[in-house]
Amino acid sequence: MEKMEIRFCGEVIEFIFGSSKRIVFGDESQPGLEIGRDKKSQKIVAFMCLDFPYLYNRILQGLKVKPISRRFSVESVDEGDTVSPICDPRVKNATLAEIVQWVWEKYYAHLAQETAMEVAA
Amino acid sequence: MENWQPLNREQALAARDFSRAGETFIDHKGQINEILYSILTPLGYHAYVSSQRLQYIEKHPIASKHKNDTPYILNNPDLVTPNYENPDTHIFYKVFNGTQLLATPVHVINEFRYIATMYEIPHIKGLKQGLISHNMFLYLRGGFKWKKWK
Repeated sequence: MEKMEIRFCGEVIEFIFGSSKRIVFGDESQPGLEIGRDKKSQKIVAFMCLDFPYLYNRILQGLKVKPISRRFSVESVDEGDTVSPICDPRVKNATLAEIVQWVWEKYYAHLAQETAMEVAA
Repeated sequence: MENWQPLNREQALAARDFSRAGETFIDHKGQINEILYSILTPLGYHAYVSSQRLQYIEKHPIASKHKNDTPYILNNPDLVTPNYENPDTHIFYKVFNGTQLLATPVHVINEFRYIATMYEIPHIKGLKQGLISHNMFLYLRGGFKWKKWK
């Protein structure tokens, strides 16, 4: 199980679980996600999504077809101006799909609801 | 309509448009972003740079070294493609020192375009997999050897 930090900036989100001085994010056919590798060792140390609200479903569908078997423990969330420690058992020893689902529900789902309410009004 | 011209690094810094500095916009997550400046791109639109996005870029060791190149990358990219996963997003590519390819995605809300982030990328996204082809390029700088980055 690897410790993970989640970093947000608006719709861009990074899932970082390895240390690296030089992360290179490439498209490795994992839907919705860029794969971050340490440039020197080529180890996978992060994932990134460029537009999480738009690509969230695509990520989950992609993880069903092409699962990532590693498990992670989310330790903190960095929202730019604040870094919050995370103690939620839902994201301890969790799959990436479970973490993606948790991020959506905790940080983004209300936006979809607000948009739906605006459309309904 | 303004005439776009490719600028060098220093010219691009000087060409930053601060006329809307201090104004704010709300991104796709509902977060407020404060505009620092904009720069005219070869696609004919201005791309806006916010303080929140620059702070985010500063957290990335590679991209932070090129923070001051942001106007240059946006004004004078080597290549611009749509992101095949979300074609409204345009990815600006620029090679530095012949060995480092930087990607700067530009998002849009109601025709307002702003940079999302900046990162090093090994290849042009989607090209190798055939999800982007050269006839989908939005802009290609003359002389840029894009096949090297396939």
